[in-house]
Amino acid sequence: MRLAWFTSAGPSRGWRHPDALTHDWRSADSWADAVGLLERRGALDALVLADVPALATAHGGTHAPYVRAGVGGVQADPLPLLAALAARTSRIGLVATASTTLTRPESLARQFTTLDVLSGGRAGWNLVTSYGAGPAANHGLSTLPSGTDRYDLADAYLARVRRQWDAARLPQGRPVLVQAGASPRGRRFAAEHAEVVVVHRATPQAMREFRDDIRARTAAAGRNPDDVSVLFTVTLGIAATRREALDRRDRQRREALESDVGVALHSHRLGRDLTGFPLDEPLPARVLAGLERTSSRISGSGPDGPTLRELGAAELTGGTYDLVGTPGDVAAQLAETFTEVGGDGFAVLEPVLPSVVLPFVDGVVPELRRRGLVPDGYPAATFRENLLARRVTSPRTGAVA
Amino acid sequence: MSAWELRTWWQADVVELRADALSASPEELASFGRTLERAGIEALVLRDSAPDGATADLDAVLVAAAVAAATTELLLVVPLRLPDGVPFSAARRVAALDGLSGGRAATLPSPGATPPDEAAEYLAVCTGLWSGWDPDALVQDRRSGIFADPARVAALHHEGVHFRVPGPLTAPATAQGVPVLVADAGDPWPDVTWADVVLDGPPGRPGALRLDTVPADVGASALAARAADDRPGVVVAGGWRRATLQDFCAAVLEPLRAGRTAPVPRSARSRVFPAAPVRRS
Repeated sequence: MRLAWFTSAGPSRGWRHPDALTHDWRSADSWADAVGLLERRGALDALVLADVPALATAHGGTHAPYVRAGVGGVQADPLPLLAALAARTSRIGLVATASTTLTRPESLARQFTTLDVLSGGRAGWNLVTSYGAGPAANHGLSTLPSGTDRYDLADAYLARVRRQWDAARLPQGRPVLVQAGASPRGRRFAAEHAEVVVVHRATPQAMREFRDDIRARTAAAGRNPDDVSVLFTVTLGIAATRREALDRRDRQRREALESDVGVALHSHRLGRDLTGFPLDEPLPARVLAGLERTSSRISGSGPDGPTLRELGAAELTGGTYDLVGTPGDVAAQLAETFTEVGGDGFAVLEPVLPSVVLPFVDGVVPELRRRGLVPDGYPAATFRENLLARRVTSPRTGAVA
Repeated sequence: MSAWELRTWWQADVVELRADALSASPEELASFGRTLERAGIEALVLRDSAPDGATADLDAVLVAAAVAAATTELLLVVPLRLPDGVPFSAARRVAALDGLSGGRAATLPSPGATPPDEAAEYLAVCTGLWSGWDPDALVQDRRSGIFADPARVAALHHEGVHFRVPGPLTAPATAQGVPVLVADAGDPWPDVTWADVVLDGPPGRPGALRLDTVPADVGASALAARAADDRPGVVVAGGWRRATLQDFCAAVLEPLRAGRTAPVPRSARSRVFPAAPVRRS
């Protein structure tokens, strides 16, 4: 089973966490301590840092609600942080998000060359084509090409970047290519190029369908489907007892329903200003029609789908595959889901804080290791070699992890 | 006053080298950074690499980030290549280095072939972006859930001749606010009024010990003798070999440590301007 930790070079809502007082999310030292835990005994394959180079302004046309809460793009450029972590970690893959639409190919190739050299072959590139007006405007672009056109451009862009890497003879040959697009064109791009795909799906069945689709497309593109790992996003609610974990999640959901931050985040997700819509009614269908981004696939309390308040709350807690319970419970859920899906693994969407990382690395991962799903340590030196070598066989289906 | 209106001359020893001068293994970078620090060197000036086929073309800001992770006091001066991209991403990358190093970043813009008016606008955009988050904007009050005060985070709304940049940057500034701006006296700037610091002893000027002109077979003791004669203010290192670097550290930097007190770990700006640690524009 492959495991990645997916966050951003920012507070990631973790600044409100109890141990955030001693954990300065800006300093390389704090990050190095926590990321060191992620690679303890080979627990995690990779740290992936998301990035959107603009503050959100969708809600009310101002960055104020996002700045006030420390969300919606409040984060630093991930590449310098990963370069610093390259010097302070030894085995974990280090994946930075960078855009084919906003960065010159020669600059991007040089940046990932540097990360691969500094880390001794542990660099990964989470390739995004960018969406939304904010990042484009900051980079001097008045409009972005359509989603499909952006992928067509990304094909040529990637070919150019790879030529530059091949001429430089990197420790890893080429940095590992990670991709997150789930649109049909995005899936085609993943099938042709990606080595890791990170995606949200709400149920094991939907995960299985998505993974099967990527594997079929990969084979059709002339590649070995085993060379692509599809990682599904999960969130964690781990406590010493099941009761405590469930109670804490209930409390967080109640607080989220009272917060206006989630609705601002939902405006950002949809690229649509949701100020003024009634909180306790579902969004009108005309609002959702024609948007490039889709609303969360959560089920609401009423017959007409989730209310705006519930959609907002899902942005703050849940909204992806949520694993709640003791370390043993969470390990069992991961193992069961893994078997149902057929293989590959998961990406944990949580801040890199010791109090969040430790219950997973010291509680859940040893349990997965005992089941033969996670190896003990890293067999190889480079990110790609580890991804391929850490494949283990799922006990029930014979699927590869 | 000539076109070189110097706002501050920074009396400090700095070491300057190309990003590809090291082998870039994390261990070697860490060891090099710590050696500079122990020797009381104030700053490491990293220049863009000039790949010759034998070394990879490395990004100086990322190399500086790796050195920052291994050091606590060394100031890191990184290039800002004006012809090489959009000011937003360049400013944001330097800001990230400043954040992770606890305010130890400084930047050395090089105009290249950029016309003077465009270069001036580029620098104005960067400085405006770096000033967007007031150093006091960060609240981080866990009880109220207020992370930062939006009234202290100003978008730039820059609409100029060459650039349109709404801003603001996406993360809070460090205590020093704007990273220290360093001008190289050898660069073709019409004026350097924007600079906080002008590097003394640029390449080719007296006072600089140029290690790239030292033949590879010159031993450590000869290097040390030469350094003692020249009393380097700036050490300029071109594409020198690892052996030379190790000799240099052992023969020149380690002895410098004697009789020095290590600098207090403060931000780059407060080290350059002890009386006025924060710059607001």
